[in-house]
Amino acid sequence: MKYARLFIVLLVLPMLTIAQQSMGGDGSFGSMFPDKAISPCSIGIFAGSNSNTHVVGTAYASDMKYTPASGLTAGINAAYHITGWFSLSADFALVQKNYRLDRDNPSLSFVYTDATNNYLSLPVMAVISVGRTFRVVAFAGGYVGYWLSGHRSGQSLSVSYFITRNQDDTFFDEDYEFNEQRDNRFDSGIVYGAGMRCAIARKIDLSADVRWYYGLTDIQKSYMTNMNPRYNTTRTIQFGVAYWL
Amino acid sequence: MFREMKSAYRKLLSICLSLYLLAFVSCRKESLEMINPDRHYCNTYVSQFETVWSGIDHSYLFWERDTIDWDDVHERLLPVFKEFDAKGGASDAELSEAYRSMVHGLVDHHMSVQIRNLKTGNPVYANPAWDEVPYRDYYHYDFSNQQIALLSTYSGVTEYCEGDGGFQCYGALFPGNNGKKIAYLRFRSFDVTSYSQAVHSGYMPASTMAPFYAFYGNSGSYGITGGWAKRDDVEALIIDVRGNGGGALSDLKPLVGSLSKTRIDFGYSRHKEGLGRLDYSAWTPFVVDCPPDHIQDDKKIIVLADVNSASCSEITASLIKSLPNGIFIGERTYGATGPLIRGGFDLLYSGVFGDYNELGYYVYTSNFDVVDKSYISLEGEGVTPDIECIFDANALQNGHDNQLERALLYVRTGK
Repeated sequence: MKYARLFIVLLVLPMLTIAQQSMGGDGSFGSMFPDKAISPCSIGIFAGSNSNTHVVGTAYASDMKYTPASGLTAGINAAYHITGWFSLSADFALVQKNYRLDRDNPSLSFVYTDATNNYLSLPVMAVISVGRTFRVVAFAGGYVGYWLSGHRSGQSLSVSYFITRNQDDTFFDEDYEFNEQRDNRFDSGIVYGAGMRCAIARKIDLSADVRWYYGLTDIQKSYMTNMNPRYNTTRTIQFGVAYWL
Repeated sequence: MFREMKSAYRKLLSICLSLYLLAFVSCRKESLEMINPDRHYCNTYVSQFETVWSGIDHSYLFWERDTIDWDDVHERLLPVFKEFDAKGGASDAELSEAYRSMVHGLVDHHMSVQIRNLKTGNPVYANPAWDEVPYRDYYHYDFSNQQIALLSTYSGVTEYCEGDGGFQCYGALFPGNNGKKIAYLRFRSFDVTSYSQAVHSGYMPASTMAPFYAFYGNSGSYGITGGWAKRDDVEALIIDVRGNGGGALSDLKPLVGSLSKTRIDFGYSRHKEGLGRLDYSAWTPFVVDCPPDHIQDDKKIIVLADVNSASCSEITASLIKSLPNGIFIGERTYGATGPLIRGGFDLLYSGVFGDYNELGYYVYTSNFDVVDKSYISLEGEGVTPDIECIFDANALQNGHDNQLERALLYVRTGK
């Protein structure tokens, strides 16, 4: 966690400096509607889909294949526009970080797990933008989050399968039960991405973003010495609308 | 204006690229190189210890239930094995004591560790169940042979038979109520399916499985196609798995599933799924199918088991106990209820690993955690009988198998 905080600070401060220098410090562009400067706040909503990669070293368990799975993201956003080209933005987002586990083993081809994980994420980002009617934005920051719930479905080897060789009893579909000793429900990391903003009315912007949530917190607690960490990397494509207050 | 825009876009691009690169060199912990405990050659006491320790660390099934601090075990014992290497070897007693200390208290009653002493070349063993089972107040050695010898001597016994091809199995009919019979079957291991195949392939005579033909009407692999179990004049069936150390899971369907009118929905099972101690699969139903040829009436079904009944025998006791017309008479069983499968490590990266002959170490341990409908595990505990009847050595010396007689009494009196 301390690394995540340090990383965010190291990212945001140079950005502010670079951006300020490059724009001459007067926020002279990006203000298609000059009166927005009077009310520098906007709020918005967004939704989209994502693809999450569950990063874990499987060592000698080499036929366990974790593959990315799609999920949904949605949330609300608030931004404070410091200048015409620079703003601070914070989200309250529900982000699914799903994955699939397959077995690359011919005798286990029916075995799989589809894991759905629902996270509450609170990213805070520095945003710089260029352009007028259409603005290109880039943003970076950090996020903290909480693993709200999970669900597992799929097929698994069972004792019954070895008694009968019948796959009927290999299915499962259940809410995930957290293990207090293992599961680290606190989440944090960096978030970054880019997108576009389009002003469609005097106080309304449409947005389209591509965003990466790069988890820096192991989703497992450090409950054993000799363990491989697990992280999530989530790429979202999201669309939103913002209203200038 | 255009120059300003161009400069800004360039800066923007630089920032994006920097972020992207930084993300991939940032603060995630690296994955560890791990020893594959199933295929690791060891030439020192320390490497043997590290391999076995890490194998159990990653492959052992019951970490969620065990209270042993396994990291502390490593810290405590590593200096001991370093000392063995430093002084040029250890005695068998020293090595055995070190490994016994290592696995002491683990709940898995299947577990057995076999290590080759690099100095003497001798095998040493450690088995956590040995530190628990013999200390139960009702523990006794296995007296199966003496009990079996009494079978044909009981008054009224008819149609006594036994396998004659190396598979130890015994059958008999005891007198019941109102001229009815009580069918009795005892076998020493769950190898019925493999022996049955040998019989059907002509490698062994059918007489090898004579008690099964008498009881089930076939070699035991096809449910109840006839035999005592199907006869109307047989009022109860006794399956005796005392002293039976277990065997193949595939025997459960024909032998036990056929004693039920419907599939037996016992509980759930799960296995390790990943190398973390607490990486488990989901729970999936543990059911035993009822073969097409199964019991048709409501005969009483009694399973006899004792402290030396392990593994499949205990599962059999649990399954029969769960039947509406089933009852378990005898003693709390051994406590090795987590099944194993052949080649389990290659499928599940858990369970049995190593190869004593090739690698000098071998660890035998469970693949599946089995629980009942209430998610209660009996691993390390054993199955508790409905009617407890502790083995009586004095009675046996006087020609009485008190546990068998208790089962017969139950059938004859209903209590």
